[in-house]
Amino acid sequence: MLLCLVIKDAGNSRRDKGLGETSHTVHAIMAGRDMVNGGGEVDTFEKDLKEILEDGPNLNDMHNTVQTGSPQKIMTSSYPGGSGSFDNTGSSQLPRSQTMPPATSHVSLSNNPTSSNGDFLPKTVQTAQSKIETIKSWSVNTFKCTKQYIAERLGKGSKTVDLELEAQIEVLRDMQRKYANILRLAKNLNSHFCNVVQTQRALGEAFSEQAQRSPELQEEFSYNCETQRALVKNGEVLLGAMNFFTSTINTLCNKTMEDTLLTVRQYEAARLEYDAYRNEMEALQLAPRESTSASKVDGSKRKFDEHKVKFEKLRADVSIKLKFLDENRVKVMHKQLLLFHNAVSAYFTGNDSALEATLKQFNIKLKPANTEKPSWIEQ
Amino acid sequence: MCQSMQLYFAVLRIGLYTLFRRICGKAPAAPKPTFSVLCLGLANSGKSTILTLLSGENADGIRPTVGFSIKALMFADCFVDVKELGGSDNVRMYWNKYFCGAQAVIFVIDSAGSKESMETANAELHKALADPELDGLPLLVLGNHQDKEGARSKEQITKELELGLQSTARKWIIHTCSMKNKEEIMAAFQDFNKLLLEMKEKEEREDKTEEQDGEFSKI
Repeated sequence: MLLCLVIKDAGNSRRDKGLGETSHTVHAIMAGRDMVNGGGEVDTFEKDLKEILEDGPNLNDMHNTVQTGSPQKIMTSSYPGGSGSFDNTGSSQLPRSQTMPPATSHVSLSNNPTSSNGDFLPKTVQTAQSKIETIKSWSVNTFKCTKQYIAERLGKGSKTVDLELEAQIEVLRDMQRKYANILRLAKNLNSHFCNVVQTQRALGEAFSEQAQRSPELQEEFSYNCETQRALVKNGEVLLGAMNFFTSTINTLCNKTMEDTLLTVRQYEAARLEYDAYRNEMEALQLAPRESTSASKVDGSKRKFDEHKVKFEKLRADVSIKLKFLDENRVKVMHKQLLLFHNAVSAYFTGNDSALEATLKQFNIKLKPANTEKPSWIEQ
Repeated sequence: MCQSMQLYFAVLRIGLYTLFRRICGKAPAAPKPTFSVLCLGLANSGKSTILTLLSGENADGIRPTVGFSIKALMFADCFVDVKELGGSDNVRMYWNKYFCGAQAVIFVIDSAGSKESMETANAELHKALADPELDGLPLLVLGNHQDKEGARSKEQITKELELGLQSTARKWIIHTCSMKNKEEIMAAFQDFNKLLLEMKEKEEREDKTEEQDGEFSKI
Protein backbone atom coordinates (compact mmCIF):
# COMPACT_ATOMS: atom_id res chain seq x y z
CA MET A 1 0.00 0.00 0.00
CA LEU A 2 2.75 2.36 0.93
CA LEU A 3 4.60 1.47 -2.21
CA CYS A 4 1.53 2.07 -4.23
CA LEU A 5 1.07 5.51 -2.77
CA VAL A 6 4.67 6.43 -3.33
CA ILE A 7 4.49 5.33 -6.90
CA LYS A 8 1.33 7.23 -7.40
CA ASP A 9 3.11 10.23 -6.05
CA ALA A 10 5.93 9.56 -8.38
CA GLY A 11 3.59 9.49 -11.31
CA ASN A 12 2.01 12.76 -10.34
CA SER A 13 5.25 14.52 -9.79
CA ARG A 14 6.51 13.25 -13.07
CA ARG A 15 3.57 14.73 -14.83
CA ASP A 16 4.04 17.99 -13.02
CA LYS A 17 7.74 18.58 -12.94
CA GLY A 18 9.49 16.13 -15.16
CA LEU A 19 11.81 13.26 -14.59
CA GLY A 20 14.17 14.68 -12.04
CA GLU A 21 11.98 14.44 -8.98
CA THR A 22 10.75 11.01 -9.88
CA SER A 23 14.22 9.63 -9.87
CA HIS A 24 14.65 11.06 -6.40
CA THR A 25 11.64 9.26 -5.03
CA VAL A 26 12.68 6.09 -6.67
CA HIS A 27 16.11 6.52 -5.24
CA ALA A 28 14.51 6.79 -1.88
CA ILE A 29 12.81 3.50 -2.41
CA MET A 30 16.04 2.03 -3.65
CA ALA A 31 17.89 3.20 -0.62
CA GLY A 32 15.28 1.64 1.62
CA ARG A 33 15.46 -1.58 -0.29
CA ASP A 34 19.24 -1.58 -0.21
CA MET A 35 19.24 -1.28 3.51
CA VAL A 36 16.87 -4.16 3.77
CA ASN A 37 18.93 -6.28 1.46
CA GLY A 38 22.04 -5.40 3.31
CA GLY A 39 24.06 -5.06 0.11
CA GLY A 40 23.97 -3.23 -3.16
CA GLU A 41 23.25 -6.24 -5.34
CA VAL A 42 21.46 -4.58 -8.15
CA ASP A 43 20.23 -7.67 -9.88
CA THR A 44 18.52 -9.19 -6.91
CA PHE A 45 17.10 -5.89 -5.93
CA GLU A 46 15.83 -5.36 -9.42
CA LYS A 47 14.23 -8.73 -9.33
CA ASP A 48 12.67 -8.04 -5.98
CA LEU A 49 11.25 -4.76 -7.01
CA LYS A 50 10.01 -6.25 -10.23
CA GLU A 51 8.38 -9.05 -8.38
CA ILE A 52 6.63 -6.57 -6.21
CA LEU A 53 5.62 -4.53 -9.19
CA GLU A 54 4.56 -7.52 -11.18
CA ASP A 55 2.36 -8.68 -8.40
CA GLY A 56 -0.24 -7.38 -10.72
CA PRO A 57 -3.68 -8.19 -9.41
CA ASN A 58 -2.75 -7.32 -5.89
CA LEU A 59 -1.45 -3.90 -6.67
CA ASN A 60 -4.19 -3.37 -9.06
CA ASP A 61 -6.87 -4.41 -6.62
CA MET A 62 -5.62 -1.96 -4.11
CA HIS A 63 -5.48 0.66 -6.72
CA ASN A 64 -8.97 -0.04 -7.83
CA THR A 65 -10.36 0.09 -4.38
CA VAL A 66 -8.44 3.17 -3.50
CA GLN A 67 -9.08 5.40 -6.43
CA THR A 68 -11.68 4.15 -8.82
CA GLY A 69 -12.77 6.95 -10.98
CA SER A 70 -10.34 9.46 -9.54
CA PRO A 71 -8.75 11.73 -12.12
CA GLN A 72 -5.18 10.87 -11.07
CA LYS A 73 -4.42 8.53 -13.89
CA ILE A 74 -1.44 8.75 -16.12
CA MET A 75 -2.54 9.40 -19.63
CA THR A 76 0.55 8.42 -21.57
CA SER A 77 0.45 4.70 -21.82
CA SER A 78 2.98 2.80 -23.83
CA TYR A 79 1.46 -0.55 -22.86
CA PRO A 80 -1.57 -1.51 -24.86
CA GLY A 81 -4.49 -2.40 -22.74
CA GLY A 82 -2.71 -1.71 -19.49
CA SER A 83 -4.71 0.00 -16.79
CA GLY A 84 -3.79 3.28 -15.24
CA SER A 85 -2.32 1.77 -12.15
CA PHE A 86 0.15 -0.29 -14.04
CA ASP A 87 1.21 2.57 -16.18
CA ASN A 88 2.16 4.29 -13.00
CA THR A 89 4.43 1.49 -12.00
CA GLY A 90 5.78 1.28 -15.51
CA SER A 91 6.66 4.93 -15.57
CA SER A 92 8.38 4.63 -12.26
CA GLN A 93 10.37 1.77 -13.68
CA LEU A 94 11.71 3.77 -16.57
CA PRO A 95 13.49 6.47 -14.61
CA ARG A 96 14.91 3.87 -12.32
CA SER A 97 16.62 2.17 -15.18
CA GLN A 98 18.02 5.53 -16.20
CA THR A 99 19.54 6.16 -12.82
CA MET A 100 20.99 2.70 -12.51
CA PRO A 101 24.74 2.27 -12.54
CA PRO A 102 25.72 0.97 -15.95
CA ALA A 103 25.63 -2.78 -16.20
CA THR A 104 26.27 -4.99 -19.15
CA SER A 105 22.87 -6.55 -19.28
CA HIS A 106 21.23 -3.34 -18.24
CA VAL A 107 19.18 -2.57 -21.32
CA SER A 108 17.99 -6.05 -21.99
CA LEU A 109 17.07 -6.56 -18.37
CA SER A 110 14.98 -3.48 -18.14
CA ASN A 111 13.41 -3.79 -21.54
CA ASN A 112 12.48 -7.40 -21.69
CA PRO A 113 10.41 -7.55 -18.55
CA THR A 114 8.55 -4.42 -19.48
CA SER A 115 7.67 -5.78 -22.88
CA SER A 116 6.65 -9.05 -21.32
CA ASN A 117 4.66 -7.02 -18.85
CA GLY A 118 2.91 -5.40 -21.73
CA ASP A 119 1.98 -8.75 -23.20
CA PHE A 120 1.24 -10.60 -20.07
CA LEU A 121 -0.36 -8.27 -17.64
CA PRO A 122 -3.36 -6.85 -19.45
CA LYS A 123 -4.86 -10.32 -19.50
CA THR A 124 -4.59 -10.86 -15.77
CA VAL A 125 -5.54 -7.29 -15.13
CA GLN A 126 -8.60 -7.68 -17.27
CA THR A 127 -9.64 -10.96 -15.72
CA ALA A 128 -9.08 -9.53 -12.29
CA GLN A 129 -11.08 -6.49 -13.20
CA SER A 130 -13.92 -8.49 -14.65
CA LYS A 131 -13.89 -10.73 -11.60
CA ILE A 132 -14.03 -7.72 -9.35
CA GLU A 133 -16.81 -6.30 -11.43
CA THR A 134 -18.88 -9.48 -11.21
CA ILE A 135 -18.25 -9.79 -7.49
CA LYS A 136 -19.20 -6.17 -7.03
CA SER A 137 -22.40 -6.38 -9.00
CA TRP A 138 -23.28 -9.68 -7.37
CA SER A 139 -22.77 -8.33 -3.89
CA VAL A 140 -24.72 -5.18 -4.65
CA ASN A 141 -27.53 -7.28 -6.06
CA THR A 142 -27.49 -9.69 -3.15
CA PHE A 143 -27.44 -6.89 -0.68
CA LYS A 144 -30.43 -5.21 -2.27
CA CYS A 145 -32.38 -8.43 -2.50
CA THR A 146 -31.60 -9.36 1.08
CA LYS A 147 -32.65 -5.92 2.22
CA GLN A 148 -35.89 -6.24 0.32
CA TYR A 149 -36.46 -9.74 1.65
CA ILE A 150 -35.96 -8.67 5.24
CA ALA A 151 -38.15 -5.63 4.75
CA GLU A 152 -40.87 -7.83 3.34
CA ARG A 153 -40.53 -10.30 6.15
CA LEU A 154 -40.83 -7.54 8.69
CA GLY A 155 -43.84 -6.23 6.85
CA LYS A 156 -42.28 -2.91 5.92
CA GLY A 157 -41.41 -3.05 2.25
CA SER A 158 -43.96 -2.86 -0.49
CA LYS A 159 -44.40 -6.02 -2.48
CA THR A 160 -45.80 -6.80 -5.88
CA VAL A 161 -48.47 -9.43 -5.58
CA ASP A 162 -50.22 -11.08 -8.46
CA LEU A 163 -53.11 -12.49 -6.49
CA GLU A 164 -54.37 -14.85 -9.13
CA LEU A 165 -50.98 -16.28 -9.95
CA GLU A 166 -49.93 -16.58 -6.32
CA ALA A 167 -53.10 -18.45 -5.56
CA GLN A 168 -52.46 -20.81 -8.45
CA ILE A 169 -48.90 -21.38 -7.30
CA GLU A 170 -50.10 -22.09 -3.80
CA VAL A 171 -52.61 -24.57 -5.17
CA LEU A 172 -49.87 -26.24 -7.18
CA ARG A 173 -47.60 -26.55 -4.16
CA ASP A 174 -50.40 -27.98 -2.11
CA MET A 175 -51.21 -30.38 -4.90
CA GLN A 176 -47.65 -31.54 -5.13
CA ARG A 177 -47.69 -32.29 -1.42
CA LYS A 178 -50.91 -34.24 -1.75
CA TYR A 179 -49.64 -36.17 -4.70
CA ALA A 180 -46.43 -36.94 -2.89
CA ASN A 181 -48.55 -38.36 -0.10
CA ILE A 182 -50.53 -40.47 -2.56
CA LEU A 183 -47.28 -41.63 -4.05
CA ARG A 184 -45.94 -42.61 -0.64
CA LEU A 185 -49.07 -44.57 0.18
CA ALA A 186 -49.12 -46.27 -3.19
CA LYS A 187 -45.48 -47.26 -2.77
CA ASN A 188 -46.24 -48.66 0.67
CA LEU A 189 -49.15 -50.64 -0.69
CA ASN A 190 -46.98 -51.83 -3.51
CA SER A 191 -44.27 -53.16 -1.23
CA HIS A 192 -46.79 -54.79 1.10
CA PHE A 193 -48.55 -56.40 -1.77
CA CYS A 194 -45.26 -57.60 -3.19
CA ASN A 195 -44.63 -59.35 0.13
CA VAL A 196 -48.13 -60.83 0.07
CA VAL A 197 -47.62 -62.26 -3.37
CA GLN A 198 -44.28 -63.76 -2.38
CA THR A 199 -45.81 -65.34 0.70
CA GLN A 200 -48.65 -66.73 -1.36
CA ARG A 201 -46.21 -68.27 -3.77
CA ALA A 202 -44.25 -69.89 -0.95
CA LEU A 203 -47.47 -71.12 0.62
CA GLY A 204 -48.63 -72.61 -2.66
CA GLU A 205 -45.37 -74.48 -3.00
CA ALA A 206 -45.60 -75.78 0.54
CA PHE A 207 -49.15 -76.97 -0.14
CA SER A 208 -48.17 -78.78 -3.29
CA GLU A 209 -45.32 -80.48 -1.45
CA GLN A 210 -47.68 -81.66 1.25
CA ALA A 211 -50.19 -82.79 -1.35
CA GLN A 212 -47.60 -85.18 -2.72
CA ARG A 213 -46.45 -86.39 0.68
CA SER A 214 -49.74 -87.07 2.41
CA PRO A 215 -52.15 -89.08 0.23
CA GLU A 216 -55.07 -88.76 2.65
CA LEU A 217 -55.15 -84.95 2.35
CA GLN A 218 -53.91 -84.81 -1.20
CA GLU A 219 -57.02 -83.30 -2.73
CA GLU A 220 -57.45 -80.62 -0.08
CA PHE A 221 -53.84 -79.60 -0.32
CA SER A 222 -53.92 -79.47 -4.06
CA TYR A 223 -57.05 -77.28 -4.05
CA ASN A 224 -55.33 -74.84 -1.76
CA CYS A 225 -52.23 -74.98 -3.84
CA GLU A 226 -54.18 -74.13 -6.95
CA THR A 227 -56.00 -71.28 -5.22
CA GLN A 228 -52.72 -69.80 -4.07
CA ARG A 229 -51.23 -70.15 -7.52
CA ALA A 230 -54.21 -68.41 -9.08
CA LEU A 231 -53.84 -65.66 -6.51
CA VAL A 232 -50.16 -65.30 -7.33
CA LYS A 233 -50.87 -65.13 -11.02
CA ASN A 234 -53.48 -62.43 -10.64
CA GLY A 235 -51.39 -60.69 -8.02
CA GLU A 236 -48.47 -60.35 -10.37
CA VAL A 237 -50.68 -58.66 -12.93
CA LEU A 238 -51.93 -56.27 -10.29
CA LEU A 239 -48.40 -55.69 -9.10
CA GLY A 240 -47.33 -54.72 -12.61
CA ALA A 241 -50.21 -52.28 -12.85
CA MET A 242 -49.36 -50.82 -9.47
CA ASN A 243 -45.73 -50.41 -10.44
CA PHE A 244 -46.74 -48.53 -13.52
CA PHE A 245 -49.08 -46.37 -11.48
CA THR A 246 -46.42 -45.46 -8.93
CA SER A 247 -43.75 -44.76 -11.54
CA THR A 248 -46.08 -42.49 -13.50
CA ILE A 249 -47.13 -40.61 -10.38
CA ASN A 250 -43.50 -40.35 -9.46
CA THR A 251 -42.76 -38.77 -12.82
CA LEU A 252 -45.72 -36.44 -12.49
CA CYS A 253 -44.90 -35.41 -8.97
CA ASN A 254 -41.13 -35.24 -9.05
CA LYS A 255 -40.43 -34.30 -12.63
CA THR A 256 -43.37 -32.58 -14.25
CA MET A 257 -44.51 -30.57 -11.27
CA GLU A 258 -40.93 -29.92 -10.26
CA ASP A 259 -40.23 -28.46 -13.67
CA THR A 260 -42.98 -25.92 -13.24
CA LEU A 261 -41.99 -25.24 -9.66
CA LEU A 262 -38.47 -24.51 -10.84
CA THR A 263 -39.86 -21.77 -13.03
CA VAL A 264 -41.97 -20.61 -10.12
CA ARG A 265 -38.86 -20.31 -7.99
CA GLN A 266 -37.11 -18.33 -10.69
CA TYR A 267 -40.18 -16.15 -10.93
CA GLU A 268 -40.13 -15.50 -7.21
CA ALA A 269 -36.46 -14.60 -7.28
CA ALA A 270 -37.10 -12.26 -10.21
CA ARG A 271 -40.01 -10.75 -8.30
CA LEU A 272 -37.78 -10.02 -5.34
CA GLU A 273 -35.16 -8.37 -7.54
CA TYR A 274 -37.80 -6.41 -9.34
CA ASP A 275 -39.25 -5.13 -6.09
CA ALA A 276 -35.82 -4.30 -4.73
CA TYR A 277 -34.96 -2.18 -7.75
CA ARG A 278 -38.40 -0.66 -7.83
CA ASN A 279 -38.14 0.45 -4.23
CA GLU A 280 -34.68 1.81 -4.79
CA MET A 281 -35.82 3.78 -7.81
CA GLU A 282 -38.79 5.17 -5.96
CA ALA A 283 -36.61 6.20 -3.05
CA LEU A 284 -34.21 7.94 -5.41
CA GLN A 285 -36.98 9.73 -7.20
CA LEU A 286 -38.40 11.00 -3.95
CA ALA A 287 -35.03 12.27 -2.83
CA PRO A 288 -34.13 15.93 -3.48
CA ARG A 289 -32.95 16.55 -7.00
CA GLU A 290 -29.29 17.22 -7.52
CA SER A 291 -26.96 16.98 -10.42
CA THR A 292 -25.35 13.79 -9.13
CA SER A 293 -28.60 12.09 -8.30
CA ALA A 294 -29.97 12.54 -11.82
CA SER A 295 -27.52 10.06 -13.25
CA LYS A 296 -28.20 7.73 -10.34
CA VAL A 297 -31.91 7.91 -10.98
CA ASP A 298 -31.31 7.16 -14.63
CA GLY A 299 -29.11 4.21 -13.77
CA SER A 300 -31.59 2.78 -11.33
CA LYS A 301 -34.38 3.33 -13.85
CA ARG A 302 -32.45 1.39 -16.44
CA LYS A 303 -31.80 -1.46 -14.02
CA PHE A 304 -35.39 -1.41 -12.94
CA ASP A 305 -36.50 -1.72 -16.57
CA GLU A 306 -34.14 -4.63 -17.11
CA HIS A 307 -35.54 -6.47 -14.14
CA LYS A 308 -39.05 -5.55 -15.08
CA VAL A 309 -38.63 -7.17 -18.48
CA LYS A 310 -37.20 -10.30 -16.85
CA PHE A 311 -39.97 -10.37 -14.30
CA GLU A 312 -42.73 -9.95 -16.87
CA LYS A 313 -41.24 -12.68 -19.01
CA LEU A 314 -41.06 -15.11 -16.13
CA ARG A 315 -44.57 -14.24 -15.08
CA ALA A 316 -45.88 -15.09 -18.53
CA ASP A 317 -43.83 -18.29 -18.45
CA VAL A 318 -45.26 -19.32 -15.13
CA SER A 319 -48.85 -18.70 -16.08
CA ILE A 320 -48.50 -20.65 -19.32
CA LYS A 321 -46.65 -23.48 -17.66
CA LEU A 322 -49.29 -23.69 -14.97
CA LYS A 323 -51.99 -24.06 -17.58
CA PHE A 324 -50.14 -26.73 -19.48
CA LEU A 325 -49.27 -28.52 -16.29
CA ASP A 326 -52.90 -28.62 -15.29
CA GLU A 327 -53.89 -30.14 -18.61
CA ASN A 328 -51.08 -32.63 -18.46
CA ARG A 329 -51.91 -33.61 -14.90
CA VAL A 330 -55.56 -34.17 -15.70
CA LYS A 331 -54.71 -36.25 -18.73
CA VAL A 332 -52.12 -38.37 -16.99
CA MET A 333 -54.15 -38.88 -13.85
CA HIS A 334 -57.27 -39.72 -15.81
CA LYS A 335 -55.44 -42.51 -17.55
CA GLN A 336 -53.64 -43.74 -14.46
CA LEU A 337 -56.64 -43.71 -12.17
CA LEU A 338 -58.68 -45.62 -14.69
CA LEU A 339 -55.91 -48.16 -15.02
CA PHE A 340 -55.51 -48.49 -11.28
CA HIS A 341 -59.21 -48.90 -10.70
CA ASN A 342 -59.55 -51.48 -13.46
CA ALA A 343 -56.58 -53.44 -12.22
CA VAL A 344 -57.70 -53.48 -8.62
CA SER A 345 -61.31 -54.32 -9.39
CA ALA A 346 -60.28 -56.97 -11.90
CA TYR A 347 -57.96 -58.52 -9.36
CA PHE A 348 -60.55 -58.74 -6.64
CA THR A 349 -63.56 -59.63 -8.77
CA GLY A 350 -61.49 -62.11 -10.79
CA ASN A 351 -60.18 -63.71 -7.66
CA ASP A 352 -63.62 -63.61 -6.20
CA SER A 353 -65.10 -65.71 -8.94
CA ALA A 354 -62.11 -68.03 -8.92
CA LEU A 355 -62.34 -68.27 -5.16
CA GLU A 356 -66.04 -69.00 -5.28
CA ALA A 357 -65.53 -71.57 -7.97
CA THR A 358 -62.86 -73.34 -5.96
CA LEU A 359 -64.92 -73.11 -2.79
CA LYS A 360 -67.88 -74.65 -4.52
CA GLN A 361 -65.72 -77.40 -5.83
CA PHE A 362 -64.27 -77.85 -2.41
CA ASN A 363 -67.66 -77.97 -0.69
CA ILE A 364 -69.07 -80.45 -3.08
CA LYS A 365 -66.17 -82.77 -2.88
CA LEU A 366 -65.62 -82.35 0.81
CA LYS A 367 -68.70 -84.21 1.91
CA PRO A 368 -68.10 -87.39 -0.01
CA ALA A 369 -64.56 -87.38 1.30
CA ASN A 370 -65.88 -87.26 4.84
CA THR A 371 -68.61 -89.83 4.31
CA GLU A 372 -66.26 -92.25 2.65
CA LYS A 373 -63.97 -92.50 5.58
CA PRO A 374 -65.40 -92.14 9.06
CA SER A 375 -63.05 -91.10 11.81
CA TRP A 376 -61.13 -93.81 13.58
CA ILE A 377 -62.89 -92.81 16.84
CA GLU A 378 -66.24 -93.65 15.33
CA GLN A 379 -65.15 -97.04 14.24
CA MET B 1 -29.80 -51.05 26.60
CA CYS B 2 -30.24 -53.89 24.18
CA GLN B 3 -31.53 -51.57 21.51
CA SER B 4 -28.64 -49.17 21.88
CA MET B 5 -26.26 -52.11 21.64
CA GLN B 6 -27.94 -53.16 18.42
CA LEU B 7 -27.59 -49.67 17.07
CA TYR B 8 -23.98 -49.60 18.09
CA PHE B 9 -23.29 -52.86 16.32
CA ALA B 10 -25.09 -51.67 13.23
CA VAL B 11 -22.94 -48.56 13.05
CA LEU B 12 -19.86 -50.68 13.61
CA ARG B 13 -20.84 -53.00 10.82
CA ILE B 14 -21.44 -50.18 8.39
CA GLY B 15 -18.09 -48.69 9.32
CA LEU B 16 -16.29 -51.97 8.86
CA TYR B 17 -18.00 -52.58 5.57
CA THR B 18 -17.02 -49.20 4.17
CA LEU B 19 -13.49 -49.70 5.44
CA PHE B 20 -13.37 -53.06 3.72
CA ARG B 21 -14.56 -51.55 0.49
CA ARG B 22 -12.06 -48.75 0.77
CA ILE B 23 -9.27 -51.26 1.28
CA CYS B 24 -10.35 -53.38 -1.63
CA GLY B 25 -10.49 -50.27 -3.78
CA LYS B 26 -14.10 -50.78 -4.59
CA ALA B 27 -15.88 -47.51 -4.34
CA PRO B 28 -19.66 -47.75 -4.38
CA ALA B 29 -20.99 -47.67 -7.90
CA ALA B 30 -21.64 -44.16 -9.11
CA PRO B 31 -25.32 -43.41 -9.53
CA LYS B 32 -26.54 -43.37 -13.08
CA PRO B 33 -26.51 -39.90 -14.52
CA THR B 34 -29.82 -38.29 -15.33
CA PHE B 35 -30.25 -36.06 -18.32
CA SER B 36 -33.15 -33.82 -19.07
CA VAL B 37 -33.80 -33.73 -22.75
CA LEU B 38 -36.18 -31.70 -24.84
CA CYS B 39 -38.17 -33.42 -27.57
CA LEU B 40 -39.48 -31.19 -30.32
CA GLY B 41 -41.10 -31.72 -33.67
CA LEU B 42 -44.08 -30.82 -35.76
CA ALA B 43 -47.52 -32.29 -35.17
CA ASN B 44 -47.98 -35.91 -36.18
CA SER B 45 -44.28 -36.60 -36.48
CA GLY B 46 -44.61 -39.33 -33.89
CA LYS B 47 -42.86 -37.93 -30.83
CA SER B 48 -45.28 -39.36 -28.28
CA THR B 49 -45.39 -42.72 -30.01
CA ILE B 50 -41.63 -43.09 -30.02
CA LEU B 51 -41.40 -42.21 -26.35
CA THR B 52 -44.27 -44.51 -25.47
CA LEU B 53 -42.62 -47.34 -27.34
CA LEU B 54 -39.35 -46.70 -25.57
CA SER B 55 -40.94 -46.73 -22.15
CA GLY B 56 -42.52 -50.04 -23.02
CA GLU B 57 -46.14 -49.04 -22.88
CA ASN B 58 -48.92 -49.77 -25.24
CA ALA B 59 -48.64 -47.33 -28.12
CA ASP B 60 -52.23 -47.68 -29.29
CA GLY B 61 -54.66 -44.84 -29.05
CA ILE B 62 -52.18 -42.05 -28.59
CA ARG B 63 -53.72 -38.71 -29.21
CA PRO B 64 -51.84 -35.55 -30.18
CA THR B 65 -50.06 -34.02 -27.21
CA VAL B 66 -51.52 -30.72 -26.19
CA GLY B 67 -49.08 -28.84 -24.07
CA PHE B 68 -46.35 -31.11 -22.85
CA SER B 69 -45.61 -34.37 -21.13
CA ILE B 70 -42.57 -35.66 -19.33
CA LYS B 71 -41.46 -39.23 -19.64
CA ALA B 72 -38.67 -40.83 -17.68
CA LEU B 73 -36.83 -43.34 -19.83
CA MET B 74 -34.50 -45.88 -18.30
CA PHE B 75 -31.52 -47.06 -20.26
CA ALA B 76 -28.70 -49.33 -19.28
CA ASP B 77 -26.23 -46.49 -18.82
CA CYS B 78 -28.35 -43.51 -17.83
CA PHE B 79 -31.78 -42.11 -17.12
CA VAL B 80 -33.23 -39.70 -19.61
CA ASP B 81 -36.11 -37.44 -18.66
CA VAL B 82 -37.67 -36.47 -21.92
CA LYS B 83 -39.74 -33.35 -21.91
CA GLU B 84 -41.91 -33.64 -24.94
CA LEU B 85 -43.74 -30.63 -26.29
CA GLY B 86 -46.76 -30.71 -28.52
CA GLY B 87 -46.13 -29.82 -32.12
CA SER B 88 -49.32 -28.12 -33.17
CA ASP B 89 -49.23 -24.46 -34.19
CA ASN B 90 -50.82 -23.14 -31.02
CA VAL B 91 -48.34 -24.97 -28.79
CA ARG B 92 -45.25 -24.19 -30.85
CA MET B 93 -45.27 -20.57 -29.79
CA TYR B 94 -44.79 -21.67 -26.18
CA TRP B 95 -41.85 -23.96 -26.87
CA ASN B 96 -39.31 -21.46 -25.68
CA LYS B 97 -40.83 -21.43 -22.20
CA TYR B 98 -39.61 -24.97 -21.70
CA PHE B 99 -36.08 -24.57 -23.01
CA CYS B 100 -34.63 -23.68 -19.64
CA GLY B 101 -32.63 -26.48 -18.05
CA ALA B 102 -32.48 -28.76 -21.06
CA GLN B 103 -29.28 -30.67 -21.62
CA ALA B 104 -29.93 -31.95 -25.11
CA VAL B 105 -32.47 -31.72 -27.89
CA ILE B 106 -34.31 -34.34 -29.90
CA PHE B 107 -36.03 -33.22 -33.05
CA VAL B 108 -38.46 -35.62 -34.66
CA ILE B 109 -39.60 -35.13 -38.24
CA ASP B 110 -41.95 -36.91 -40.56
CA SER B 111 -39.60 -38.03 -43.30
CA ALA B 112 -42.50 -38.75 -45.63
CA GLY B 113 -44.03 -35.33 -45.10
CA SER B 114 -44.73 -32.76 -47.78
CA LYS B 115 -42.19 -30.19 -48.90
CA GLU B 116 -43.97 -27.44 -46.98
CA SER B 117 -43.90 -29.40 -43.78
CA MET B 118 -40.17 -29.96 -44.21
CA GLU B 119 -39.70 -26.26 -44.70
CA THR B 120 -41.71 -25.52 -41.58
CA ALA B 121 -39.69 -28.09 -39.68
CA ASN B 122 -36.50 -26.51 -40.91
CA ALA B 123 -37.63 -23.05 -39.81
CA GLU B 124 -38.82 -24.30 -36.42
CA LEU B 125 -35.67 -26.30 -35.78
CA HIS B 126 -33.38 -23.40 -36.51
CA LYS B 127 -35.53 -21.01 -34.58
CA ALA B 128 -35.40 -23.28 -31.56
CA LEU B 129 -31.67 -23.89 -31.85
CA ALA B 130 -31.00 -20.18 -32.08
CA ASP B 131 -32.32 -19.76 -28.55
CA PRO B 132 -29.50 -18.97 -26.14
CA GLU B 133 -30.76 -21.61 -23.72
CA LEU B 134 -30.13 -24.34 -26.29
CA ASP B 135 -26.78 -23.03 -27.44
CA GLY B 136 -24.24 -25.77 -28.04
CA LEU B 137 -26.44 -28.60 -26.80
CA PRO B 138 -26.23 -31.93 -28.59
CA LEU B 139 -28.94 -32.67 -31.10
CA LEU B 140 -30.55 -35.87 -32.27
CA VAL B 141 -32.62 -35.70 -35.43
CA LEU B 142 -35.01 -38.60 -35.89
CA GLY B 143 -36.47 -39.15 -39.33
CA ASN B 144 -39.61 -41.00 -38.42
CA HIS B 145 -42.17 -42.78 -40.63
CA GLN B 146 -39.60 -44.57 -42.74
CA ASP B 147 -42.19 -47.22 -43.51
CA LYS B 148 -44.33 -44.78 -45.44
CA GLU B 149 -43.96 -44.27 -49.14
CA GLY B 150 -41.70 -41.50 -50.33
CA ALA B 151 -39.73 -41.36 -47.11
CA ARG B 152 -36.54 -39.36 -47.36
CA SER B 153 -33.15 -40.84 -46.62
CA LYS B 154 -30.74 -39.55 -44.01
CA GLU B 155 -28.80 -37.55 -46.58
CA GLN B 156 -31.91 -35.91 -47.97
CA ILE B 157 -33.08 -34.94 -44.52
CA THR B 158 -29.66 -33.55 -43.67
CA LYS B 159 -29.75 -31.47 -46.81
CA GLU B 160 -33.31 -30.25 -46.43
CA LEU B 161 -32.95 -29.35 -42.78
CA GLU B 162 -29.62 -27.65 -43.51
CA LEU B 163 -27.96 -29.49 -40.67
CA GLY B 164 -24.59 -28.87 -42.25
CA LEU B 165 -24.93 -25.24 -41.27
CA GLN B 166 -24.74 -26.08 -37.60
CA SER B 167 -21.73 -24.66 -35.87
CA THR B 168 -18.94 -26.96 -34.84
CA ALA B 169 -19.75 -26.35 -31.19
CA ARG B 170 -22.91 -28.44 -31.47
CA LYS B 171 -22.68 -32.16 -31.91
CA TRP B 172 -25.52 -33.67 -33.85
CA ILE B 173 -26.48 -37.09 -35.09
CA ILE B 174 -29.23 -38.19 -37.40
CA HIS B 175 -31.12 -41.47 -37.37
CA THR B 176 -34.04 -42.80 -39.29
CA CYS B 177 -36.68 -44.99 -37.75
CA SER B 178 -40.23 -46.17 -38.00
CA MET B 179 -42.83 -46.98 -35.39
CA LYS B 180 -42.80 -50.62 -36.32
CA ASN B 181 -39.16 -51.20 -35.64
CA LYS B 182 -38.23 -50.65 -32.03
CA GLU B 183 -34.62 -51.69 -32.56
CA GLU B 184 -33.97 -48.71 -34.79
CA ILE B 185 -35.30 -46.34 -32.18
CA MET B 186 -33.27 -48.04 -29.50
CA ALA B 187 -30.14 -47.82 -31.62
CA ALA B 188 -30.71 -44.11 -32.16
CA PHE B 189 -31.09 -43.55 -28.46
CA GLN B 190 -28.01 -45.65 -27.65
CA ASP B 191 -25.95 -43.38 -29.89
CA PHE B 192 -27.56 -40.36 -28.34
CA ASN B 193 -26.83 -41.58 -24.82
CA LYS B 194 -23.21 -42.07 -25.75
CA LEU B 195 -23.13 -38.47 -26.92
CA LEU B 196 -24.70 -37.31 -23.67
CA LEU B 197 -22.25 -39.27 -21.55
CA GLU B 198 -19.32 -37.96 -23.55
CA MET B 199 -20.58 -34.45 -23.09
CA LYS B 200 -20.87 -34.98 -19.35
CA GLU B 201 -17.36 -36.37 -19.09
CA LYS B 202 -16.00 -33.50 -21.09
CA GLU B 203 -17.73 -31.01 -18.86
CA GLU B 204 -16.31 -32.66 -15.78
CA ARG B 205 -12.85 -32.61 -17.28
CA GLU B 206 -13.19 -28.95 -18.16
CA ASP B 207 -14.30 -28.17 -14.64
CA LYS B 208 -11.21 -29.88 -13.32
CA THR B 209 -8.84 -28.08 -15.66
CA GLU B 210 -10.51 -24.81 -14.84
CA GLU B 211 -9.89 -25.41 -11.18
CA GLN B 212 -6.28 -26.16 -11.92
CA ASP B 213 -5.98 -23.05 -14.03
CA GLY B 214 -7.41 -21.07 -11.18
CA GLU B 215 -4.76 -22.46 -8.88
CA PHE B 216 -2.01 -21.65 -11.34
CA SER B 217 -3.12 -18.10 -11.73
CA LYS B 218 -3.17 -17.75 -7.97
CA ILE B 219 0.43 -18.87 -7.81
